[in-house]
Amino acid sequence: MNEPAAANVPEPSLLRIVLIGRRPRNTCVRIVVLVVACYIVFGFILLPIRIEGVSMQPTYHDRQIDFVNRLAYIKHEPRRGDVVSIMLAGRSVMYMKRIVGLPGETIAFSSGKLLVNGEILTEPYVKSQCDWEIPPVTLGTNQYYVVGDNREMPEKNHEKGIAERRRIVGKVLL
Amino acid sequence: MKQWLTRLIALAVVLAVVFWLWQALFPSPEHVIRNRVAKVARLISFSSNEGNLTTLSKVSSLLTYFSPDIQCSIETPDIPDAGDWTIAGREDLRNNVLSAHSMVESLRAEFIDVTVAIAPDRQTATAELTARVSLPNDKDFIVHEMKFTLKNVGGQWLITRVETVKTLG
Repeated sequence: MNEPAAANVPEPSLLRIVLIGRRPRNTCVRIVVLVVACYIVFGFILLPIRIEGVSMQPTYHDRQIDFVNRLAYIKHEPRRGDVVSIMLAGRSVMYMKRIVGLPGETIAFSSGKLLVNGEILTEPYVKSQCDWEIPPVTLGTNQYYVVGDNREMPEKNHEKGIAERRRIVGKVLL
Repeated sequence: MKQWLTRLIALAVVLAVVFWLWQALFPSPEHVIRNRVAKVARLISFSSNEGNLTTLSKVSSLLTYFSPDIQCSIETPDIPDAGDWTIAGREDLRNNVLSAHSMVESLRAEFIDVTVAIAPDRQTATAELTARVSLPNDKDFIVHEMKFTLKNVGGQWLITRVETVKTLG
């Protein structure tokens, strides 16, 4: 009985189908779900970041886009070699560094070589030589030693040192 | 049903307007401090085409945000040859700001991620923030975590102490 009436409904234009779909209500629901999902994922779980500066070269370059995985350290604590983001007063600007020292370890630089508990640490990600000299420092509980991969920089201009666990926001994803 | 929904929406709009008006007319100390800190950042910033009168006016205005006994202890290890700055008093602050104007062509300062904590006595407060400074001919910006201590003097929140916080120990 309704068939003739349904047959009379005009087919929406191609432009309308492309823009809002055949069923606008469903399209609206999909958009809302997508916006909420993006808000949760990129606001709380995978934080988008833009890398500024050269301290992590050659592993990461200036102006590169990446993400910080905030769920990375739910099951385990940060590990040596992890590239992490470290918050300052908040999460709008963060440091991006590599963890080289774990709680309880003694870290030093001698003739540009990184020493962990007095032994040289092999660092395949470091592609340049340096002459840094940093006296030994012993890390406390919940303290990690972080440093960038670019050791060509003068030691004074390179932000590095002890990061408290509470400041580590997450692990850099890519 | 439709009338009920319309009334609900109207009520929500009225409540939002009342809340906004209340915030505007009776701002909380946190809100006032945030505004003042943002204003300080704008007054510190300057462009290359700024005239002398504008500079003097901005510096004079800037000083009103600080207490006469202002203490600044700023460490800048990542800026070559900058050294550490220790400032005591408004006059010292004025001289340092004016010398900064003569040293660099332009400067843009921003205070972001401002966290305000009011002391229980409601007379002192701290503002922890990240300072981001951009200089000309330098594609990187300088970032430092900072702590401002403020005091309520005659209803005005004046900055009594500025210090850098070491993010990496």
